[in-house]
Amino acid sequence: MRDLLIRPAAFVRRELVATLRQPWLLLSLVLGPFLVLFVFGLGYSRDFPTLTTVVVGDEDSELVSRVNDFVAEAEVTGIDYVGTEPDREVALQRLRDDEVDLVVVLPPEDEVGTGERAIIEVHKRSTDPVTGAQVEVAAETAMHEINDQVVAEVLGTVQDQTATLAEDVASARDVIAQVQDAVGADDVDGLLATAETLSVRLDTLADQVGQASRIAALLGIPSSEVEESLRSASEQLASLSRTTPLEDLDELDAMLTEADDAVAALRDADPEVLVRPFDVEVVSDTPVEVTLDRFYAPGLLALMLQHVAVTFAALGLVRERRRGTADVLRVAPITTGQRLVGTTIAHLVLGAAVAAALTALIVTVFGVPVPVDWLQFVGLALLTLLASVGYGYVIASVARTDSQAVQLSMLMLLIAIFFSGLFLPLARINFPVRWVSWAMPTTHAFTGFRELMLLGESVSNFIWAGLSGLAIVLLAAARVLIPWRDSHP
Amino acid sequence: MPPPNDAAPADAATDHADRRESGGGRSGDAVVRARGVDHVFDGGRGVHDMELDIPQGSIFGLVGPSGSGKTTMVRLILGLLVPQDGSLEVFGVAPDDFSKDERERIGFLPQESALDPGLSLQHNLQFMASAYGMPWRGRWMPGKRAARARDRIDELLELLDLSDERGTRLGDASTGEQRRLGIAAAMVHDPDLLVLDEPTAGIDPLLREQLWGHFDDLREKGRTLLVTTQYVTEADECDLVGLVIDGEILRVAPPDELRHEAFGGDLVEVAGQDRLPVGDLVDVEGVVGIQRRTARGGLLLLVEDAEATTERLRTALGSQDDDTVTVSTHRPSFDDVFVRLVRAHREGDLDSPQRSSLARHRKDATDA
Repeated sequence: MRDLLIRPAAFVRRELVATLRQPWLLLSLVLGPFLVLFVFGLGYSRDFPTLTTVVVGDEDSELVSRVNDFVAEAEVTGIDYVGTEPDREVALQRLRDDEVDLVVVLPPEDEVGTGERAIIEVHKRSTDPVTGAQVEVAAETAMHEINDQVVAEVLGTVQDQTATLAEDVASARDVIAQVQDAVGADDVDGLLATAETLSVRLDTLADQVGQASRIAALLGIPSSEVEESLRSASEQLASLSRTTPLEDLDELDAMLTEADDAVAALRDADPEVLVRPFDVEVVSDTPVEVTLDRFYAPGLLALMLQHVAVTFAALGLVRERRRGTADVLRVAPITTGQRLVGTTIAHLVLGAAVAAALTALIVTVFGVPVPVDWLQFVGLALLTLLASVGYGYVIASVARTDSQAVQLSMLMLLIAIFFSGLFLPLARINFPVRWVSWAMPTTHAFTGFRELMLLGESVSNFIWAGLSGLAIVLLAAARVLIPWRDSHP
Repeated sequence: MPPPNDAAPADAATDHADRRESGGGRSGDAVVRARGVDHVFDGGRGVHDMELDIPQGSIFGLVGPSGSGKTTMVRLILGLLVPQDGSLEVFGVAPDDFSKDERERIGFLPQESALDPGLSLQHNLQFMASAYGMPWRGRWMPGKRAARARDRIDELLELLDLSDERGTRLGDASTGEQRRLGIAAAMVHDPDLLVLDEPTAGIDPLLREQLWGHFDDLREKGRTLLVTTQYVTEADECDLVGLVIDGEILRVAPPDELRHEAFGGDLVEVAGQDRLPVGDLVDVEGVVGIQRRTARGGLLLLVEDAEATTERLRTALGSQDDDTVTVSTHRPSFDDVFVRLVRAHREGDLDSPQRSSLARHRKDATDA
């Protein structure tokens, strides 16, 4: 039993002593990534860059003046509007010459209002996909804004018209009242004449409501029913005879009251609210606001743990083989298991030291919340290191030289950056490619650290199971592959 | 040179001593026995038909030029390579079946420095000691075994003249210091069989002599040493020499026997007279022929047996009465021995090198 401990302990001590004799290496392992994140946080601007924009169109056209008004009134951010250019080709050449960032080509006026949607072209030439996406979002937003303006203007016109409509409805109701008053009198001729006049007026009203039906529909007013009711009432009035009782007059009045309410609602409504009935208020449910540097801090921690463990483990074994230490150890009474256990413990200790220092820095400097459960945090870090060390050993069993080991370690780093959710959200990576993501210890660690630090939750079981599975499979593979590679250098 | 190690270095080493007493430890028993061992790499190079017995308590030298297959033979003996054919046993066990016990009885110095260049000399030794079960702990930690291990390391550093450099990083040490540390690492657990691949490469002649002195001491204490070297002259330091050429062991013999075989006899130098009677000398019984003229105007004679023929030559020359005439045994350098044996092998004439040598000498005599 004592011998079982002595030999692995020799590897632990050798690795620790060798690393401690290189204080700059340790310092760079901790300070390097921290400084990268720190400088990134200092230098990164959350605002989108301003895009120099020229509009192609006739200066005298109504569309250009509308765009000018829009730019002036809406105070569009991120757009530096530098005026209009009548010639489309000249404007596009300015885009190619990098004089402007955007060219907005308005449609000819005769294409507007034809019943088809007129197209506004937005030309960009940025190779940066983020800026490209920004342009697309800005263009969409601007188009919505202009469309809304147009709708609001139409609504305003309709509202102006509803003033007359309301007067007409009020007048019609007066007539109804007169008819009702006349029912009891003997002036049947007068009653019929009034009813006929009212019938004609209700017809006119129905026409007006019909014209405004589209707009009324926006309001949720059943304008077609109102129109139908008015016409039905008109027909009833027109068919009044001396012998027919006027039982329906109350119903007619009720219909007109309803129409009056609808018209009043249309007239009093705010066009802005009609066009944009909803506004958004985003409420974050995270314990702290997740800024960009806070988001990346746990990711950086995860990435560094993987990279340090993979590189150290791979290079350590390859160098042992290259300088002949592996042969000496094969001759000595040491098993591969003892060798791997000792080396792994050393990497865990060193990785844990790096993790502790980096965690302290990101918590104190970037204000990343402390993990809600330290035990889980330590467990997650150790498991990440273990799986990463496993990868390092597998790399060591493939690589013949130091440079091959470094190249493969760097490849692992690149895969982790692209696939772990640091670069792109994990949800945007489709299966089966997402299995590549879950094959990276960084992905599990990043997800787990975010749960513990940014969401204030426990680490999900999937992360524990995934990391444990990775560690077991990789270390078992290393146990088989390392002796084979040592005997086939 | 510091005194040889008499103290038991640690428990591991003490265990070995017990094993030496109990079995496989009688002087003269073959510690390594190989019969018809083949291991050929792609391209045809490798080891062919390796046959050797390394007696316990001897220094066995594998001598040959770089690339001749010495290291492959060492790797086969250590179990780092598996024979493709033939049988090989070390301590009576095939190397690929070595248990922990056999491994603890072997010390190995590879050709390249196999230690950690980032560690100090002392830390490297402590690591290797731990690999053989000797605890690596600081002086402030209790434990008799750890204390014995520290003593053993101090002793080896002293022995190899490395005490003053114990704190030096191995990467900053000189080539000689690195080599000496490698030897110390191979010896740290006081093994029964010490396999040293080119131990004296890159070491200055003074230190080389010291090392060979220490190897002699180890042999006196019953340890067995297998040493490879491309310094052919070091063959003289060995009890048995295996001459390795093109993956084959051409001869296994004591150095003097190889010397005799290479020249087809012994060499005697005759000097002193202005003009030596060549014809009379060739006719002396036991003289095979004239090897060559020496730089001082003398003659180098090839004789069947130097001791017997020297007296006859003195009589023939009357040197007993003439102080100016000297007749003495000449010991050719092992470089010459090596060159002759290799040349004979490559000419396909090694099985009877005497004949080719005789023919050449008779021609030389006639020319003279």
